[in-house]
Amino acid sequence: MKALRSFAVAAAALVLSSAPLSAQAAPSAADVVAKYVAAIGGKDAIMKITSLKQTSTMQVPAMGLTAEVEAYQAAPNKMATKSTIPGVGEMLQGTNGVIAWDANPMQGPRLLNDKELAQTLEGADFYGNMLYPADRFSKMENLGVADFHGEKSYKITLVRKDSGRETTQYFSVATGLIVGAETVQESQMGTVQVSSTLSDYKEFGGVKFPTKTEVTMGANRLVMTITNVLINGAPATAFDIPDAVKPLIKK
Amino acid sequence: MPAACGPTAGAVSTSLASSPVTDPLVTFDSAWSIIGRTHWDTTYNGVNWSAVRAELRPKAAAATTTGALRAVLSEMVARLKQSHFSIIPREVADASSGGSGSASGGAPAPDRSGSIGAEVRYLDRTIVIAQLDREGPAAQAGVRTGWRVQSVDGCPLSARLARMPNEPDARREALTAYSIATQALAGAVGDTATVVFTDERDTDRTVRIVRAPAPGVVAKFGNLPAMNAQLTFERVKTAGKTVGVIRFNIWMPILSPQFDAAIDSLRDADAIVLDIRGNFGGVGGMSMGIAGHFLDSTRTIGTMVQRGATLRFVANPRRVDTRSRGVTPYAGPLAIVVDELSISTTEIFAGGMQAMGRAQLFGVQTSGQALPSVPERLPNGDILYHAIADFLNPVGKPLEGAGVMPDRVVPLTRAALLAGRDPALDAAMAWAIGAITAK
Repeated sequence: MKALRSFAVAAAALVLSSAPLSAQAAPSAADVVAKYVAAIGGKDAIMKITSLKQTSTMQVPAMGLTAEVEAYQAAPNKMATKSTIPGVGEMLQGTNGVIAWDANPMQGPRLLNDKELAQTLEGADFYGNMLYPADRFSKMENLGVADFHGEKSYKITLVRKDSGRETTQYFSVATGLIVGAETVQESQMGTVQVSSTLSDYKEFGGVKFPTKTEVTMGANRLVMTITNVLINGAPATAFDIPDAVKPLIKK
Repeated sequence: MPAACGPTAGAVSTSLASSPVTDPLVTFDSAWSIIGRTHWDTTYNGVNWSAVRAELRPKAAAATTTGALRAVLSEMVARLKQSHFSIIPREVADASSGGSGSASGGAPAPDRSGSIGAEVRYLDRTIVIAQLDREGPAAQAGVRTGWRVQSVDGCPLSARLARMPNEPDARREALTAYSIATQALAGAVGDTATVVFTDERDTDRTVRIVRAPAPGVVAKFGNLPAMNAQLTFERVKTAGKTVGVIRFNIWMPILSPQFDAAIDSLRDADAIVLDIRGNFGGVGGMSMGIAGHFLDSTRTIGTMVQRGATLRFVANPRRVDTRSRGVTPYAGPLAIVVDELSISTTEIFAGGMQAMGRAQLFGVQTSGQALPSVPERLPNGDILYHAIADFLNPVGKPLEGAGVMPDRVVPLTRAALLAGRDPALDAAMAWAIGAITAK
């Protein structure tokens, strides 16, 4: 009996000790996100940032194209990018937090609507995309540990509250940093499965940013390399509605 | 016959062909894998893609020159029997002029950016002058439309045309013949071409023509070779009406602002005719923007079917002009003129506009080479031009092979050209005037 009790105690001890082990193997999604926020610099450092100007290049290797990209973001929800592609010209995309636009030399200007608008507004959610506050999501779930391109990662499913858009993100178990993401991109042309790999984190203004992002969209692959991040360096005029877009806005 | 009168069909440049090749299998495997992972049809058009690799890989391994490797790669992509699969030599892709300029890493390729200022077509198994730049060297030298090109710099075209591979599709044969003729006629700017023509009296004439820079602007888009992009437009007054005629030779984004400006200038025209004969295609996305100038609601001009994604080519009404003022898209009659050298994006656009009922098409059946494609660089620096999708028109019909059949078939004839007429354009103009009147 003693032996059995001892076994039972031992088993109980094992059960008791295994519970925290399970928690360590699969922390809650909120814990994973909190670790990420700490890993990139912490909430205090992030909250000191009110705007960003990112300078980057976007390569499309299959086409031999390289775009020079200037991207501006500002709290709470403004975003504007200007991509200059040799032989094409300037492509403008952005939102002032209310409307969103896309203007390029080949197709002219247009306003984004419906899912595209919702997606753009969520993409411009300045703190939402760095701090992952729970109120932005209807679901945050840790699906466990997965291998993402050789990196042991927590696979977290996130569902945005407003749009219902689902994203799966991979947070490195070792560093806490996001190393990848999978989602469905909405566009006027249709939906495309998008897979991203994030790497080469570098610190700008006390916060780490992934300076290399490789994106696979269907048969296409894009490589974005950030060359500089200017903290609090976005002028208010960066988010002005382009002149070519203004006639499309109904008064 | 001069020694330089060798076959030129498809051989755009051979300046690096004899250079030694290193790691041929790296390039071969890369090309095979790219197609393996991006071809939209997992049956590879009925070709056992693994067997192709097993068969051709030893040949690639045995290649000692760039030319030999290119031959193996070309054989591999040819097995698919589909358009938009080819190997573009790196010295051609990297040239900075519309012709083939200096090669990267090899001997400079000869300058071939000079033009005599004439468009040719393959009619009755001969090469005929179909269009002349009014101010171009050929027109200034007295050349007229309808004249047959017999020889260039002592090289008879007939011999080169006779060596063309057997091609059951007359449209493909016309394209090959066109390539042979345009390569023969091109040369360095400032050089003199000695061309023997057969004129309207069936008399041979020798004309010396000093080649000038090809009209338009040099467009370079990613890995694609540099090309001359040209857009012209005019207002034609006929029967008391004004018809705007816009011509452009390629779908390169550098022409988008020019097209927008042309539309601004022609908004008050009673009808518009787009002449896109001999337009080889280009950037597919541009077709949506051009279509939007003629649509009052958002429409789908076709669907691109890739592996893992089906994307609609959506045209949005162009409600803003080049001066950022609100406008209404052009609503007048629209005619489109096409021919057997209207290829790829040209077919996507024309087929879409026709299927939506927005345009009437005139001319002859288009090329039927309409697979969306990308020019991807291989490890040896050459470009693998490969299709990544099928394309369906708005009613779900594939354009590859079939092409687009005009609403009114109007073939080009030498007799019409000699008489100074352009039957397809004339028919389009006549329809446009009739449509205005009916309106």
